[in-house]
Amino acid sequence: MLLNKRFSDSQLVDEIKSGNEEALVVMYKSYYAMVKSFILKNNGSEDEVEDVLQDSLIAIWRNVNKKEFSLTVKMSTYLMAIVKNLWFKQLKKKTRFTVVDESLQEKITADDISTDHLDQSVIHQLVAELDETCKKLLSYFYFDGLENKIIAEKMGFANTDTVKSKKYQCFKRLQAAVTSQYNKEDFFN
Amino acid sequence: MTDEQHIHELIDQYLMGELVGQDLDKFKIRLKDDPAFLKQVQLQKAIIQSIEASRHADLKAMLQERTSKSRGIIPLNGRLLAIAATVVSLVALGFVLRYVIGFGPENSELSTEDKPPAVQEQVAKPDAQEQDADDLVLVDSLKNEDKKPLPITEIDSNAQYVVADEEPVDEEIEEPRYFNVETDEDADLAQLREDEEELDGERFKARRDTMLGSTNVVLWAVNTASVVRQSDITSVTTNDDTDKKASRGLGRKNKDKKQKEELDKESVPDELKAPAKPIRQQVKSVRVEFWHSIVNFKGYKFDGNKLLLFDTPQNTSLSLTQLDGNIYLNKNGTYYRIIANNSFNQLRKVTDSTVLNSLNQK
Repeated sequence: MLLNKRFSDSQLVDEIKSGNEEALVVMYKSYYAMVKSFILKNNGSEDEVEDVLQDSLIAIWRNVNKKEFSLTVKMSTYLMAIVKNLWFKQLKKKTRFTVVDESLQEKITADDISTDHLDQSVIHQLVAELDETCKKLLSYFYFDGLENKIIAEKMGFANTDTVKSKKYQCFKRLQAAVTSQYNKEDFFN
Repeated sequence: MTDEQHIHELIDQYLMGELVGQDLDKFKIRLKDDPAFLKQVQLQKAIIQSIEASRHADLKAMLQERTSKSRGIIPLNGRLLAIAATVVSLVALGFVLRYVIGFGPENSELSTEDKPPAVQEQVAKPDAQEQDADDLVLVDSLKNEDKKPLPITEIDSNAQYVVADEEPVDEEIEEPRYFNVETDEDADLAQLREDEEELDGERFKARRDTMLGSTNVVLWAVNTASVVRQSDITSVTTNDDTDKKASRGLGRKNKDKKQKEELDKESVPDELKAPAKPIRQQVKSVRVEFWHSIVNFKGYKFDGNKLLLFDTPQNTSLSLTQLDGNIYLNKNGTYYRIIANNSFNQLRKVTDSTVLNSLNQK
């Protein structure tokens, strides 16, 4: 069982790259005390420790799967850098009384494309209603950033072409559901 | 691949920052010139954001679920088990040094007859060293040392051993099977984790305290600023006065005192002479949890950020106030001083009338 083993940093990276979520649990348990000590010393509470650690691990989860990722420091050092960054951002937010969710802007870089006119809650609901296969497939591709080859292995698809075509079908189905919730002219003049 | 699918993938690449060079330039021109295309990109971006938000929430929920089980209020965790295992190992080592090796102030000159039976057998049969050197058996044999032969590990006669002062105590070793003293650290950790999981599991559920609910309470600081400032000025003047005494001698004590009083009256601004008016400021929000203790403990535990109240109903009216560096809990109109020492404490009523007056001022 993964939890009963100890992993080197490179093994953890490999587990994340293969999409093994257990790696996150292992890291959570390994680094909880370290993160707790930092947050509590910096005006945080135990609930905030959990929240920041979870978000930091999820950030690592996404970063590791990026093409340009390379771990050049110890995993604990890397995690603490993310924890500190997230926590100081949160402290700033607290003092300024502004609530801006920046966590979702990590991957999409085309900031000049505004989506403010679209009701995101409607789309959230439709994503939640997707069938499990489509939801997993789209999540692995867009959030986890897994390679098509790994997605094929994890989901039992024949090859990467099947992944591409399935992903497109799923996306189109979701897009059709979203557009049906809005007036057509909202999207296509 | 259809044209539509190709455009879909092109938009994906653009949104992920993977589109470069001429392709990117062409894409941007089309975005500017083709409003329908812009809307398509906007929609794709919004959908991807929702997918990301959904996955983020799922991963957080998974982590929450998988990790919350391992932390409880009763500190029966792996660290304690590790400490317990170390203690038992040391006791076992002490026993081996004293009775098996015969290393100790009073045992160093023991004759064969004086040694425990197991050691006698060892002396009589040197081949017994070939027995399996399993410390588990060794610990088990502590209970029945007169019945079973004691297995021996390889002993370096030249090695320096620390002599255990205490006599080995049989009663301390109640469950030796939990402390399998292996040299393989991984196996130890695995064993400890298994024990920890077992302790967190169904078998020990009845031994846990239970949380009944929680709420957030604002911690207010009462700042008697004007009082502080006035006393500060007085103390500064007193220091000056002391210097004067040193230079002029004690003979002028009374004169200096009068001068000091006059100086005080002149130097204190009018607004500071007014009676102290406390200022209430919001410090932070404190999480308050209501717990039922399995041992019917009545009191609290506070770590500075989270307050655990035992035997306090959830509907109790609560407020927290910080005064002169101390924190006070108002529970149904009665004030208790709360100490942030992360230990279980009894609730003690505040009886000091000065403190109560300050706390009751609004």
